[in-house]
Amino acid sequence: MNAHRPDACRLLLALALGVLFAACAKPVEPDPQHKPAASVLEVVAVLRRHVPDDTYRFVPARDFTGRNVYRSSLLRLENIEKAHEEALRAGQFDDVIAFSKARAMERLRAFELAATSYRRAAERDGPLREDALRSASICDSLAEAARIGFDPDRPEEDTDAPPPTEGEAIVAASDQRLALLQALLAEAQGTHYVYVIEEEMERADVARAQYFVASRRLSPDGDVRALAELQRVTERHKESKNANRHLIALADLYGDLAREYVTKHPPEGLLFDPPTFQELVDSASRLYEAVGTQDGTPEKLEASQRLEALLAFTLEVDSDRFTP
Amino acid sequence: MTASRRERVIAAVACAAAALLAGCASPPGAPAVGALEPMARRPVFPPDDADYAARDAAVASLLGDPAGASAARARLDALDQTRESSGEAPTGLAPFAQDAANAALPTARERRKAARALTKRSDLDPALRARLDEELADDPLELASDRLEEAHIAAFGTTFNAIAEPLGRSVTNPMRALPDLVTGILGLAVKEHLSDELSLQERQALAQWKRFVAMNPDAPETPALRERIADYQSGWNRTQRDRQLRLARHALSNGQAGTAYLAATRALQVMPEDADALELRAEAERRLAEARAARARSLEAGPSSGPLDAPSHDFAIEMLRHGGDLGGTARRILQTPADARDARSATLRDVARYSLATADGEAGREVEMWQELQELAAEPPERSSMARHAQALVSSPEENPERAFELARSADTRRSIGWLLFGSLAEGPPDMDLPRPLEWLIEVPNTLEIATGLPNRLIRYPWLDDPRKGRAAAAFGRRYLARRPDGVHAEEVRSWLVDFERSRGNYAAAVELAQQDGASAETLAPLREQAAAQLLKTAQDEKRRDARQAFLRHIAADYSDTESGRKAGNLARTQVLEASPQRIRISRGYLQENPAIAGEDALGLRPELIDGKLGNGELHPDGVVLAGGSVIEFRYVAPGGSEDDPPEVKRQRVSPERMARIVSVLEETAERNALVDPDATFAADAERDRFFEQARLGLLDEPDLRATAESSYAFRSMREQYGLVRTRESILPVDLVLQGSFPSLGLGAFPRIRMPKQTPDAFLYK
Repeated sequence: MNAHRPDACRLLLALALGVLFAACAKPVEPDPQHKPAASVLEVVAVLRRHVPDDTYRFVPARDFTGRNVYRSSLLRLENIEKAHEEALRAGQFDDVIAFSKARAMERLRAFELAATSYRRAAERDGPLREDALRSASICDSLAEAARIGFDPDRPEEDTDAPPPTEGEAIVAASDQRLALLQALLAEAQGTHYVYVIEEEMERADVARAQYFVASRRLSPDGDVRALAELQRVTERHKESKNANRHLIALADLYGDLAREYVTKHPPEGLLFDPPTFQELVDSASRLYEAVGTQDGTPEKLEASQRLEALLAFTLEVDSDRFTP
Repeated sequence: MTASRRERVIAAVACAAAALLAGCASPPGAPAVGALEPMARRPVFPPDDADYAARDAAVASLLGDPAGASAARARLDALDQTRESSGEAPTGLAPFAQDAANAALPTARERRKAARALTKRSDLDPALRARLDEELADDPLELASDRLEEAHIAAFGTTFNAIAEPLGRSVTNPMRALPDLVTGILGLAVKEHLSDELSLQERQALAQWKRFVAMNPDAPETPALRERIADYQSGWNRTQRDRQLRLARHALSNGQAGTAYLAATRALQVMPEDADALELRAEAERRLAEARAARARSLEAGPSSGPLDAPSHDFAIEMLRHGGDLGGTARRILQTPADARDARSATLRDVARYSLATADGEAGREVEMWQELQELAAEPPERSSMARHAQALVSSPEENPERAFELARSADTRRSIGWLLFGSLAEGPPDMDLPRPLEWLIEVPNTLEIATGLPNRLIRYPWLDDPRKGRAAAAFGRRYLARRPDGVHAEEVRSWLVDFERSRGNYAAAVELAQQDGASAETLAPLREQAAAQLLKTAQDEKRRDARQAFLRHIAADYSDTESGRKAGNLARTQVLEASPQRIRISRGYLQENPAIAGEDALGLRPELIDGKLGNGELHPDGVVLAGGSVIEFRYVAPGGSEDDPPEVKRQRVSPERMARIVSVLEETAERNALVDPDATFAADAERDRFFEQARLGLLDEPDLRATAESSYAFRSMREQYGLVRTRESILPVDLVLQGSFPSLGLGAFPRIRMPKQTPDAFLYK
């Protein structure tokens, strides 16, 4: 029995030390790099820096977490609003928060919400009122333009006037949308809205082209029209940050046409016309190569891999029908 | 004296006669008459017994009647015997009839067996023999066996060469024998460690076995093969898993948890429940979750992020207001004394510093902006919330391309100096999928050579061609110029880019940049000349004539002040004048080497045009060109008589019947040559084949003018392709290598086992 006492003592001592160490151990400090925003001012300052950014030509900035800076600013502002709801109830900061949120939302294409937020900022008679009302008006026009015509990515809405679904009507609606944006562009000269409007014009052109690409099999000249529409996008938006993407889309269509041609006219058959197939493959290859040689862009990798995939596909065509 | 006079008279008469003859001989150049002889008309021969027997063999083969085909073949054999007994040459049709009979056999195995028996005949046409050999070689089991043999040779050869080479070098430098041997063995061990469990050739064998089993499910070999396939397939699965696990580990050590997760998941798709893959995926998931949690926390509202005090509110208004005095307000805030105990005051000052940098940037004070941001970024994140935002801006190659440009240039310089000093170890030992210290240890024997190689590297340094050098810097430099064409560093960046583009021969880009930089006309002139020459070469290399023409016109218009620009204009005009829908060329040498094509059954070329005598008209070495439609272009040695001068060109339209004969004989000859002689390649050309097809069908009335329908295939003689003596690959499996090493000033001689060449489809297994 006595022999066991020292063991028990040791055990108790060890336990006591363990408890002591556990109590003294510092809790794991969270990474200060990712701590929550210190103040609304922090969010506003970061957002303000990126308000004048040319997001038509350049990729939108990212914050320290790698998120789109407009999106992260909006999320932070909304979280602050929610977390400090009671303290902010008096509304003394409504103008700052609403105005900042609107600035972020208009860059995320939430024009209607941005206009509403601007109007809320304008409710307070302060230095931001005039700017807020002007911006609300522009956002209204942007929202109106965004509702016109065919846009496959637009959420479905219950409207009296459904979007057009026929070629000429699509073109007419697209022209109308562009005319509205063009008028707005003149009005917005000297402000960051120029870039937002240019993005919207690009979007209108892309939506129009997407319609013709999607419906190309429904008409005899559908393929030619789809190619022409995608070429129109690449020509009109050479300066855009999406210029490479537009080239890839055009190359993809040429590639699809080449594949469809092989399905329609098997290479070993009598109806296969090597020059036609060669033209399609050449066109796709040249476009992929043009993008694939641009250092420092993610599209470089994408275009190179797609070119490889296209050339791998052509291996299936007999060499006496296609010689790369 | 008399004799002498007589000799002089004779000589004078001879000279006069020679002069007369020379005067009367036709000058070189195109002959006055056409190049072609009238088309030969063959009398119609009534078919004989051999013809009927051959027809019967073909009919039986088409009907799938091997017995009937064999009977026809027997008739041909009998006819041949009769001919032989009467001293006539055999018909030569019997082997073909047997081949037709073989084709009617019901199974692939029977056909293969019969083909093998046929190759035993001594009277086989060489082309038929070559075709049968090709068919027999295309046997999945044979192919698999060949690939396995290659795999064994490669495995043995690698080991043998790794040991033989250092031993051979030690003859003149015994001191190096041991280190070289150790290096060789270590290299071998590393290679073994890094190599896949299943080699490429073994995977090719696996694919062939699968093909055999699919084609012959009931063959006696199939059950044993299935077991072998399962065994190899397991090895291939392990290989794929190992590759993905290596990638996952590498990604994890580089902080790329997303890539590691994907790689581990792919490994699990190949081998579900694999313990290593599960562990790696769990680790990647844990790190991803941590990163997500950190990102989510950064979006939360902190306890102090609530309502603003009045100064902060006013500052926020000034920031957001159109035309607000951001810089002035920020300065005023920073000028007020700081209250170290007031957290709000500290935050306000923190934000003011960031905003001051923003204001500086908007006012074009780029240097001040980045200086302010760099100072702010250096603050500890515990003390400054804005430090992380400043850091994100400073380190972003998108937002701060000038810094990225400088960093990339520094990295290039470091790499060059590193190579100069440390050679192949400049970036550390290569990745061997081993612990880093061990990788360094393995490289220890190489250090001596690296140290002694310094003088060699110093000599080579000026000509060092590093393809990576400058590319990243150029991308960032261009990005900077796109954002700030008139920025503080624009001139410096543009000037660097001009030099960079010039150094890699891209003069067109250099001209564009120099023009943006406002370079003087004198500076631009030589650069424009080089740019035009560069573009002209690109245009001439362009295969499609429509693209080539567009290119030439562009050069002629944009570089009209340069020599190459004028040349491009002339070329564009010449191309239009001499354009033809096709450019299929048959060289004079090819016509001489293959008389059947020039002969009366095909082209019907007058023989004197390829007899080597200039006086009676001679084709230029370029020969003739099928120029599209029924037009043939004859290229003659020019009147100057030199084959180096451009040819004199004459065109002649031929009848559809003659054109059909020409292309048929040409194609048959080329295909036969390719079968009989492995060096006589008949490369694939879809446009050529399409033209031939149309010519045979007599459909050349309306030439296809599309650029993509044009073929520029050239039928060239073996001598034109390979010269007088063709190199032959040694039949020995071993090369004897005599090797000198400049760095170690050593000389060595050793045997090296020649590694098997990869098959043309090897890229499908990589």
